[in-house]
Amino acid sequence: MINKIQEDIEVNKELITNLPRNNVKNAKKVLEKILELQNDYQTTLQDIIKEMDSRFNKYQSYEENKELDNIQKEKEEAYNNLYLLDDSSPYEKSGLSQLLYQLLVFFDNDLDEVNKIIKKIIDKFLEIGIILTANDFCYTYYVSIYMKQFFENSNAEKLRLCFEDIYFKSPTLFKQISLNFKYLYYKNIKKFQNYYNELKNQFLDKQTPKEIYNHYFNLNEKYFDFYLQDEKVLLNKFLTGEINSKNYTKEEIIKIFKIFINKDLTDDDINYLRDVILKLYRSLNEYQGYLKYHFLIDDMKKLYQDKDKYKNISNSKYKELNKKQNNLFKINRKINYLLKKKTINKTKINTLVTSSLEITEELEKLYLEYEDNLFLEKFLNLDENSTLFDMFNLCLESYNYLLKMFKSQDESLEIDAINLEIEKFTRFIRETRFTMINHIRFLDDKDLDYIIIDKYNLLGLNLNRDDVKNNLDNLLQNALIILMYYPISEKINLDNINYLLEYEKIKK
Amino acid sequence: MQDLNNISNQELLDLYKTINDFLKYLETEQKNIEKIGEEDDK
Repeated sequence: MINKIQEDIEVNKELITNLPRNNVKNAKKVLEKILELQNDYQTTLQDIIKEMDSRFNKYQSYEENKELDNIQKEKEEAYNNLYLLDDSSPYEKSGLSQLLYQLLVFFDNDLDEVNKIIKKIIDKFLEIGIILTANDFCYTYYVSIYMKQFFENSNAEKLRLCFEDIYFKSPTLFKQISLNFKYLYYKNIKKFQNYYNELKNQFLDKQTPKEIYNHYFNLNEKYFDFYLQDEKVLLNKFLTGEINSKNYTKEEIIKIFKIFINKDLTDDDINYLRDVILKLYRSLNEYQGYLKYHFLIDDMKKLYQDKDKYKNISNSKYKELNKKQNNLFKINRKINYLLKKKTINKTKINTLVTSSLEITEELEKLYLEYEDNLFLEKFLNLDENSTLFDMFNLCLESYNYLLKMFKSQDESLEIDAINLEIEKFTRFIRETRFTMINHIRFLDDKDLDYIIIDKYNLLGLNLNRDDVKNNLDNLLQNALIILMYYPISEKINLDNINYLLEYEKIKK
Repeated sequence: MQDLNNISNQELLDLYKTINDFLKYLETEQKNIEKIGEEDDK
């Protein structure tokens, strides 16, 4: 058909070119011919466009896979409960560690945000069954003033005025409020512990931790499988350019297989290799995470060396902290006494307030040291048989530690970016069904690349150290291309994909 | 136009491009002739 049309067009072009246009009458005839041709070909073009649009809609229609959404939902619900099984304190489990840090770095936020954080912390206490009131906030003179205003449900404007009145007299106001919250947490620690123990017991009522984790891993792997096979997902990957249709012809896929296995492949070989490549993909992912987060292992090993020094350090630190805190409360009582007198001795009060603020600066340091000590004491639970996984898992028990470590990798990172990195690390440790790092002692810290190469070469592949060590990202990408090849070859018509991409270009 | 359903994706796209290009050519020729007309009027 196209040849005929091309021929007709050439004939018409020649006709137009050869028609005389030397005078008005002839020019008019040429114009009439042009208009006639435009009319005819416009009609044809409209028919073509109609057919193009129809195919565009048809090729983009796919079967909705509701099960994928259901599995994702179930998976996320299961994931959100996993934190109950670990050994972290209620301080971590409740998210207080993160919120109180945000309050400490209040200068990164605006006042509205800071007040929202304060509200969230109050709500955390409420969740446990502890109703906080203005009377609980008397850590310093200025904390009482601000939090009294806060609890009176003052509007944003009133709080802002209160803040402006206080701030230059006490620029560390929000740090003091953070310390007040810490004091309240440790005062009520038994209630927090009971709350999370109760939640954990309810969770373990019908299943063991192993069963719960297995259930989660199975869901996660099922989701990955379903995701890779989902028509809508695959279509989208092509249309957004994430994957290229050129990679999925049989010839190209064979080339990619050759990266992993150096032989001529039959269809049976290709079928057999699906499971092997899937296992390899998971092993390489585990290895990639191990490399990415190895800086934590390096630091944890150093801390482990001194573990015998950590016995009971938190107790002695808490005694020191408490003594200083009691001193602070004594000063606060004096301030309150002086404020109730008929004649207010402003000089004496100001001197006492200044003293109290100095003590809070020392308390800020003491609380951080106390929290660090609590973390260091956990090293006493490790021994020479502890694995790399045990080390990584221990990191999850201290937000402060992870914050410090991730910030050390990139000082320019803002708090939101650091929290994102911490979340990625947490997901890696909780989501992965480890097969290597949970068996390797952290003191041994073997060459994982050799372990991977030896295993998969025994299963028929031809991996080499250079590829695994220096080209890991590409290896993972190619493994994923192979894994997607199977559903694509069954469900996707590549010709239709190429059509859709071309159509998009034309329409732009 | 004869049945477009039965032609391949590539042929359909090529058809579109060919006819679209020809229509652009006709538009150019139309403008050229109209220009000649304007110059004559002057």
